[in-house]
Amino acid sequence: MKRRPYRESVIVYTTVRLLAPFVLAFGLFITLHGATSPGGGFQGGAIMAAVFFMLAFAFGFHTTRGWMGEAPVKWLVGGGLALFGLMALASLALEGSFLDYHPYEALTGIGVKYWGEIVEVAIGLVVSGGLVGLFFLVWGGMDPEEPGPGSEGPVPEEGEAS
Amino acid sequence: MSVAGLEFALIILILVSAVITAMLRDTLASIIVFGAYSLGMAMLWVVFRAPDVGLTEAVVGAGVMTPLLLLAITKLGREDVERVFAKIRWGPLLGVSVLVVLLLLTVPALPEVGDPDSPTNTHVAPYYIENAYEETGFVNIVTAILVGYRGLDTFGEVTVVFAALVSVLAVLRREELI
Repeated sequence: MKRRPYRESVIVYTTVRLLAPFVLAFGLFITLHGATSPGGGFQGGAIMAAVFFMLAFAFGFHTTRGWMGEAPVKWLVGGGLALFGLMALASLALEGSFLDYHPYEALTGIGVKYWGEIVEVAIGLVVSGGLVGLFFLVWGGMDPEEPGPGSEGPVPEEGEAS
Repeated sequence: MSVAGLEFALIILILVSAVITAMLRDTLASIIVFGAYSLGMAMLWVVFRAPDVGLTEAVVGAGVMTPLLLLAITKLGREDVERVFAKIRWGPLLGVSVLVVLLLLTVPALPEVGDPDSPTNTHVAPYYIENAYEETGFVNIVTAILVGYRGLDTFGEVTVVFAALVSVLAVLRREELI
């Protein structure tokens, strides 16, 4: 079957526009509320990434790519991992153990729970950024007609007559 | 409807949608039924009082996997299929059935669900249940274990997500994400 060209659907477009802010808020809630209700960084991050998938399906690849750009994904994934690592290692400097949040409480007076929440947020950043990145790679990565801005198209095999 | 009846209905939904997912010839239809399978699994986890797992199943199984698979078939293209279901091949079916029966035979050896004397409930679990709230302040014990007691495991998992993205970039020989 021939691939049908992408057409904007009014129903999809309108539904996504209405739903997206609420789904994003739900994702943030799940991420930030993991300490007291089901959820946490993994689930919340995946929900926030799903918002982006919705937008990409409704508004098309190029539009969404234009909004998003390259940098946020890199910063989400790298920054999230760095934040988690920092939370794990800074404890050692304060004479605690690796990944021990109690030294932070002793230092600042803010409860252990909130330091754990920072780790949840870090997880959420990595998961949402990672999923959005994979989504865009699947979408734009292998299509020779639609190469990403930095790619030179498919790499020719060595020795291939051109 | 009683909880047992609800469980039974959900298990039927899961089994039927799993079989249909495997049998359908049309990839798009298969992906849609796979979404129903994930939804059934998510509801079953909630019935089993594991809302954290249920939420993960709903988000990852239905919310993230479905768009990724849909995206994959727009790249692959759909074939016209003349029949709805694939032909059953009896040899592999027999082999799989034997394996399933062998695995089911081991089920009675497992401890009962919620058995306080089972190995999973007698080592570290009592310590977590008694001390998690005081030591971490987390009301949700799952989160207390995830980022507190088993924080190192979680750190490893997050590193795996990072590594997955980097390796996909490497496989596709691209230097930019978007």
